[in-house]
Amino acid sequence: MSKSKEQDTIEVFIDSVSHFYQQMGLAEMEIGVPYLLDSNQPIVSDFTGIIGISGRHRGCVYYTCPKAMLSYILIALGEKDVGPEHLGDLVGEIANTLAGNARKTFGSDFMISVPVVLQGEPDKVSLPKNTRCVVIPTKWKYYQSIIVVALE
Amino acid sequence: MFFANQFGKYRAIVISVAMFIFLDTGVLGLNFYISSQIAADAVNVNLAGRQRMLSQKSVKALLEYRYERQQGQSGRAAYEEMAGAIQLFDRTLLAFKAGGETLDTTGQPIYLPAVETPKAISAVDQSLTIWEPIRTDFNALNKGGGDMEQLLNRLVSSAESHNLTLLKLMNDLTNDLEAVAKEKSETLRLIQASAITLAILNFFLILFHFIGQLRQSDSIAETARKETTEILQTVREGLLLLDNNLIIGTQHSESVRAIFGDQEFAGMSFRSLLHNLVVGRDMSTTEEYIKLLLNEKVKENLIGSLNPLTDVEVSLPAENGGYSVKHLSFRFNRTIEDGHISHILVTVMDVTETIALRKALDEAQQSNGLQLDALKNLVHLDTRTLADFLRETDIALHEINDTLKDEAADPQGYNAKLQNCFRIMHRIKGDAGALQLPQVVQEAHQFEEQLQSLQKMSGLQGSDFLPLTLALDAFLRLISDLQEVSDILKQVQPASSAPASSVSEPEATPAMPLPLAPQLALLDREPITQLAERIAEEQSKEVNVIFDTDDDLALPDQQRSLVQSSVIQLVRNAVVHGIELPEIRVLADKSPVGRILVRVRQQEDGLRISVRDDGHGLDLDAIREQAHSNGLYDQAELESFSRTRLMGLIFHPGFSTADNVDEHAGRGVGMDLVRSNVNKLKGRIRIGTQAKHHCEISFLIPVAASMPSEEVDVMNTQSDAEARV
Repeated sequence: MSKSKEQDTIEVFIDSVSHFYQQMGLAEMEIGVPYLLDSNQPIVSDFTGIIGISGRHRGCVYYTCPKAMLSYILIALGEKDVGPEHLGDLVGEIANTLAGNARKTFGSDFMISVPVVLQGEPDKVSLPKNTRCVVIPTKWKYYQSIIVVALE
Repeated sequence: MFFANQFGKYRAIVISVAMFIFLDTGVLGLNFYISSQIAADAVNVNLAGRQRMLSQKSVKALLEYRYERQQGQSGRAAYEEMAGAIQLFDRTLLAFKAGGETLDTTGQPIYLPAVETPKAISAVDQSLTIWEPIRTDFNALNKGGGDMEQLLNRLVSSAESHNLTLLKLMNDLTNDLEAVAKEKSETLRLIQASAITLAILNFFLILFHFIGQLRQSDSIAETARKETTEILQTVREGLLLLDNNLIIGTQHSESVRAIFGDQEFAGMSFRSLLHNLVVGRDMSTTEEYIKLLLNEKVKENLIGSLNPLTDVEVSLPAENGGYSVKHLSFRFNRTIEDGHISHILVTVMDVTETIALRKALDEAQQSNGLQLDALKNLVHLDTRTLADFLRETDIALHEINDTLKDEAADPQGYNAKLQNCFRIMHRIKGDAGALQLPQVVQEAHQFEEQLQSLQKMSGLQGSDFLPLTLALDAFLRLISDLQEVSDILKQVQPASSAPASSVSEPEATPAMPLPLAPQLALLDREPITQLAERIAEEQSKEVNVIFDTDDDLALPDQQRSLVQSSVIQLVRNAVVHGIELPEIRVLADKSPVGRILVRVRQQEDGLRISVRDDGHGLDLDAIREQAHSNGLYDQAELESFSRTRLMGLIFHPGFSTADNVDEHAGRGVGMDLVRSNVNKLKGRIRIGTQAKHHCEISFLIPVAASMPSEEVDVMNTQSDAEARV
């Protein structure tokens, strides 16, 4: 079965998040069964890192995860301050990794925005209207988080 | 021609060197000229100095001659000396005056030019005035005769009175000639100094001018080299030059390395570069093509189409150590120098993406073609039927999405997901097949293939489902497209639509036959018949589907749909597995046309729907064998199974006795779907079969208004299935 371009693209984003965990020396992240996001209502957890994409493909990619998980990671990394600012920085760093890998892999096909970090605020996530988004559930320790790829 | 072309470039240096040579030659010529002049002047000065000596010598010899004669001697020697001195003085003086021959200090004749300076002319003229009477007297003395003594005395007297004057005049002449010589030598020095200065200046001019020019051209060359390097490092195409022997030149673009891997290309033959990438015949065609390009008599643009390497699929080593398949396109162009072909420029482009896009475009075009076919198929359908199908399919696809979404992390959970997806997709495929929607059938078939490849995968992980999720997205888009078409069709054929009564909400209500006139008939017969006939035709069989139903019977939409899709699966199963080929049927004393009876009967305990075929019946041995080879049960267990339980195995997920997988059979999903549907309808299944005679599968939908306590586990139902032999 040959891989489609769309699949290649989504795999780059999944691998980016996986690599982030590896680079941080954290336990491996498990990938769940991807599904489609119906009705295009964004699902967000406590903290969300989003990158906007334009160029040949338009849309966004985001990673969203619960506060408890980010706090756990920060503590695991030896950080004592687990205030919202630090938690936001961490999720921003994950979004940065997404953006960096996307730039490296896709080159000029994708124009990637500077990552934006949100706390809750699902209204601020705007998903493209004419496309169904792919949700990739992920699990680290016992925390659930998701990657959402919404590209036209 | 060459010089004319090149002269412009080197004009400055040619002019400078010519000037240098001209100056040096000029100085040399002048040097020769003035040196010879100085040499001549030196002779003049010498001879002028000799005149001084001769004047004194002749006076001394005159006085000696007179003294010797007074002493009575002959005085011959003195006379000879006096005569020699006087004659030489006279000859030299005349030569100074008008130019003429005289004798040099060695006695050799020498030409003496006439003096030219006013001082010298005056001295010579004055000397001649004094000298003329002396010469006359001496000539007379020399001739002899006459009064010798008187002549002699007169000569002595003249000599005594003019001796000093003559000496002074000759001295003046000598000094003047010396001054002239000196002046000339100074002029020579001046000219030499000036010419040498000019020559040195010219030399430095050449030096600085050309060093400047060399530095400038070096800098231009350096800039050009840098720019060339930048271009070669940046350009995405692989660029390299081939000589007449197809050997690669020293320069190439960085992309060559990216395309062909890290190796030394300079001096390598083109054949070695393409070794392992291009097969033998293409390689020799390529070489012939390049040789044609190198032939100046052949027009380049006429042979472009002969290039065999416009699209080459190659496997090249990838960074991660594996191999990646790329599509390369080679272009060959002549490079011309001085009107002749000097090299062949090879441009290698990685057209992998272009090819992928072209393929995608072809697929899209094909898809459009399919849509047109779909449209043709949609037009004949009743819009209500179509809309129902599309709505139900959309719901079913969302069910699949929900199945994917359900949390499950272990392999068993994944397999359950796949099995559930299989059931839903098979229902869609069956319904689509019945409605003759080949595009949907194809999409469903491909989806099933993906499901099956996932089932076979060991160590299945969540990420392996990604292609399936994307296929689901594509399927949903297809349904959405068809819905748009369906909406348009609704507008153009409103009259043919079914009664406009409201459709029951698809909620799970218990089965309840409703004899309502406006409701749709319980079974939609036409698609079932068409499907059976189509499958039969494809399998070279003949079949006749007979319906025995009561048109008054009806069910709510959702249940009707479950019954319809179950009957479709059962009829499909009957055609594929039950009905034999016509020739076999004839041998078995049967009509060549198989008969399938679909019957719906209202019974006391509910509604019984049965599908009976007059085929060869269930092959229990084949079921046993398949169950064993599938690893469901071991041989001993199977031997102990009752007929009923053995027959029940056909409802097991993934169980099939078909040899090959095709659109109609082979995945073992159809009967599993029937089981699942009957389960939803809270019904029971019964199988009746007689070898070589018939097979009948029926299910009973309970009629009670609510049956919470009567839920039946269909797995149990399978094992308890009644077997009527």
